[in-house]
Amino acid sequence: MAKPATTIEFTLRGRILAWLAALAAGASWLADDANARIAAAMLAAPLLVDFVAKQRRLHQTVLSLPPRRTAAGSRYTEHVLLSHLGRSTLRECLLTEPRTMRTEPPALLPTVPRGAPTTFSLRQCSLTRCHQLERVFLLESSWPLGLFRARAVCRVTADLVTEPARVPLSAEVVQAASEVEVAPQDRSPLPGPEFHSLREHRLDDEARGVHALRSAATGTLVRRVTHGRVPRTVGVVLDLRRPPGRALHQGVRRFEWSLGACASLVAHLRGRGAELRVLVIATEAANFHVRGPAQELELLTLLAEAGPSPHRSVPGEQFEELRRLAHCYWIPAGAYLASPEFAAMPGSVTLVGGDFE
Amino acid sequence: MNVAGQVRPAVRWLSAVLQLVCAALALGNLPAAALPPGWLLAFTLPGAALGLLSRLRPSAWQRFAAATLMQTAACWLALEFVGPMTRPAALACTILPPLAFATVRQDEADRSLALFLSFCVLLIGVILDGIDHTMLGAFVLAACLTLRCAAHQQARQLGRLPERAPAPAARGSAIAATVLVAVYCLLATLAFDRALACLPSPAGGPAAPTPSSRPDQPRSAGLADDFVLGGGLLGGLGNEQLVRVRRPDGEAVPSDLYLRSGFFTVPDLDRWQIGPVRARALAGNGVFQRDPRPGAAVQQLDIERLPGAMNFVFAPPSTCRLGSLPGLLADHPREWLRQTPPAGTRYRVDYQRLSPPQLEPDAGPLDAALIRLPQGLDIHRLDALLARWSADGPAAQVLQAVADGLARHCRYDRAEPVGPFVHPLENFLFADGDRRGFCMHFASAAALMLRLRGIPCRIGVGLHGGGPDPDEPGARIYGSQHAHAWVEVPYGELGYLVFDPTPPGDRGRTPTFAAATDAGDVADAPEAAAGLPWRELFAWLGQGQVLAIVLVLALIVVMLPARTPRAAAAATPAPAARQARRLLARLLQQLARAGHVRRHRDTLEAFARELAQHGHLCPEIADAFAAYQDVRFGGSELDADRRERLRRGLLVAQRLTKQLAAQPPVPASGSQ
Repeated sequence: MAKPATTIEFTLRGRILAWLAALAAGASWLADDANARIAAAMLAAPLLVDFVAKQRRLHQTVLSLPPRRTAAGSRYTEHVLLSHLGRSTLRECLLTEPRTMRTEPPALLPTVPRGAPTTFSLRQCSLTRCHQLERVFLLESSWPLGLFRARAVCRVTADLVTEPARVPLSAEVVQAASEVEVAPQDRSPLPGPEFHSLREHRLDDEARGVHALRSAATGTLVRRVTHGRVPRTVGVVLDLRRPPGRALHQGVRRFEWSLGACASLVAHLRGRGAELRVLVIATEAANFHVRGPAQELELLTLLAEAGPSPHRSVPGEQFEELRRLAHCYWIPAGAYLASPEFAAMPGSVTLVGGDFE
Repeated sequence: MNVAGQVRPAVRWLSAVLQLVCAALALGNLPAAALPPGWLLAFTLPGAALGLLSRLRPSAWQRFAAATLMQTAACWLALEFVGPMTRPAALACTILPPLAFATVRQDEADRSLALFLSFCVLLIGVILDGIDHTMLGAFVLAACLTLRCAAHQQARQLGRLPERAPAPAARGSAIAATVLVAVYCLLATLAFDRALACLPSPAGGPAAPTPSSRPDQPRSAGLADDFVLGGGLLGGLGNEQLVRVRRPDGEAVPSDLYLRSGFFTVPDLDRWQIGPVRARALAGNGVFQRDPRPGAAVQQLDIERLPGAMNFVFAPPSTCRLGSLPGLLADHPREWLRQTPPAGTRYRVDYQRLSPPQLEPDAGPLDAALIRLPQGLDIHRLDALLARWSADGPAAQVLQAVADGLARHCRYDRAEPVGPFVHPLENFLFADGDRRGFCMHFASAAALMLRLRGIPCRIGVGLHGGGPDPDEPGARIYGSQHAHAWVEVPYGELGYLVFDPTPPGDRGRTPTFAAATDAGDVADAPEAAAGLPWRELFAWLGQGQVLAIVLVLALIVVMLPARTPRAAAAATPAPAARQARRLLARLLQQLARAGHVRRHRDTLEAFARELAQHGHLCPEIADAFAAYQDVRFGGSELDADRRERLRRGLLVAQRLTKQLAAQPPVPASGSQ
């Protein structure tokens, strides 16, 4: 590991000034001309002052960040605690995190006295799915005259989980696990279909679903929309394997979309009170029983870290639990559509993203 | 989208005002005599107007037409009402329109350009008019503050502003730091100038062992038998020590001592020449001797010639005896002394300090040569000037009137006179604006005026003033910066007596900053300044060695590591990132040859997607991109594995380029 350091480099303006100063100094030396000497001195003096006054201990800046969980492409505001342990006050420093601030300008830090912790906010957006335990910040300053630029990289131990970006799922997929939708016979919530929303009544709709009170209030016919009740436990198989003979790096878009679809599906099903049996097929198969927020976070963290895996067969016993469930979702993230395990699944299985291309 | 922060209007205004100040200082440094204000306005107003006009975003041809029209009209008006100006001034003026334009327009790129052009104009002023330290100091301060404003603006534009306004204490600290930086800039300018002056230069200088400064090779430059007005009195001598003078009785050498090394008799408008000399070798032991004049005490001096002055014999006017120099040549009536070949460094001189008597000057048989006037001299103007000064009557009255008139009419400066006339002397006497010059111009003008009034005289040159010798109390050291010129009036048997028309206050001016090495004369009286402790302190601080030590100490303090080891944050080694960037650049270059040019501000991910759409994203290339990003953004080192991945990507890209080059071009209609 290289030693942490602050690098100082010329800015464009500084480079031009340095060339001019060198030329003038050379001319004054060769010709022993007082005017050239004055010119060289006037050109070189700002360079010298800027170099000497440059903040050269930027790397002795300590940043503290809370754990962060976000979805890819979502903006958030990060609150950073910064304390500078260098010799002098930090002035006009620009702070940026290349990974999460690619679409955002760097933050211009306020004047930070030596040793005094300062809190400030950064607008960030993690574009790619990841789970990072270390975050890298770039700190640079051109103070005072902008002829040199001091730059340092600050590494911070942190926990940044960028979950897959949520994707919109088609209605067929969302409702595939639901029981057949039937118009409510009574007002009891169980065991029939559950209320979802209201919509305008169309002529060819059945009149039984019209919401009388709402229709009277609005003056137009309004009817209920109901969903079939979701089973208590739904199975989800996330297949990260690439088809045999296919390269790992291909099908990135499909892979990312599938992970997003998985995250969206989990959120949707959990929102409707279902428990999930999730089987993630990668280099090793992993089973999750998602019953609450803790397991859901664990699954989403796994999704944040997931990558395509080479093809391998999965033992049949891994599917035992899923075979007992009434409905399963199969998400072929690695584009392995002709999976024999999928063909062997009994009961109702919905393929998510099969028509992705 | 990169949302830039907004620059505070106060900072923007301050920056604009500072740039205007820089431009004004640079313009103010231009010599008014060479560049009359009318011409300055003619060259700056159209540019400024065009700068204002540019804010309205006119089309290119409109700008061109407006610029041409305005500049032509302004030049015509200036020519009509101010008159023509000299060619160097006209050349210098060509830089003024862009300066005015960039200063007024205040676009993003104009700040640096305007500052640079101001600097150029300032230098032109320095070259044309000499160095004005106050003006230079003010410009350095203003330029430094302008740079500070520019850096601040850039930071504000690049970065998102903090949500909270800075505390007043922080703002005060920032302002104090800025002022401190400006002052440091001023000191650094001084230090650099001194340090450069200390460097041995191939063109000469104090520390360079130039051939002419060796004792075995006598100097031929400076204090010669011919002086060209406009060329400087000591051209090529630099700032070296020439003579050490002490008194045998150990008393202090007077500071107003004149040490003559030569004289000029034959005038011209642009030069003086020594004229005829009847040099004869001295008989016997080679002692120059004259009878001392009664009524005045004879004083003795021990003169030691230093290596730079071996070609000259220095002696005070009214010297009675000069000995111990072998091979001495002399012309007794003219008090001319020269040694061939130069030998020996020390000699003793007996001399008298004589005051001008109440008699009329008498040149004896040399009278005709000493009242000759140069051809082409405008006698009527000179006569009118003398009449205005009431320079008539007895010789003493004329001498006093000429000295007073010159002190009022002209200004002492270590720069050549400038003006509309061809000859420097005419510019010194007859220019409309700033009439300035140094001792040779004062002496030349006075000599010509005295001759016009029938008073015989000549110009004496040598050393005057000097400085106390730090190693020997009472002794004085004379350097080339103490070279001086004065007028000598013959009084019959008394010989030539000194009449110095250079204003006494200016004669005693201490050389400071870079002017000490000017080719012009500097006759200082250090005792006058020695009483001021701050001046001594400043002179001590201004020494190149002291400043160099201060600079080195400052650098050491800045570079020293912190005393207590602190929790060091890890950082990516910059060289690794640079090497990775270099490899990536080669890879991108290959891809560009294959027709896939990465657009500006395009991320590697976007570029990889574009490659994938074309079916050219090979796994090796994607892997190379990933390796680069690991190094650049992930804080990883460029180890052998990542280097290999980058190289593999490069090889694949080269192969891809060759493959695409070998394929026949696909017709556009069939591409889908």
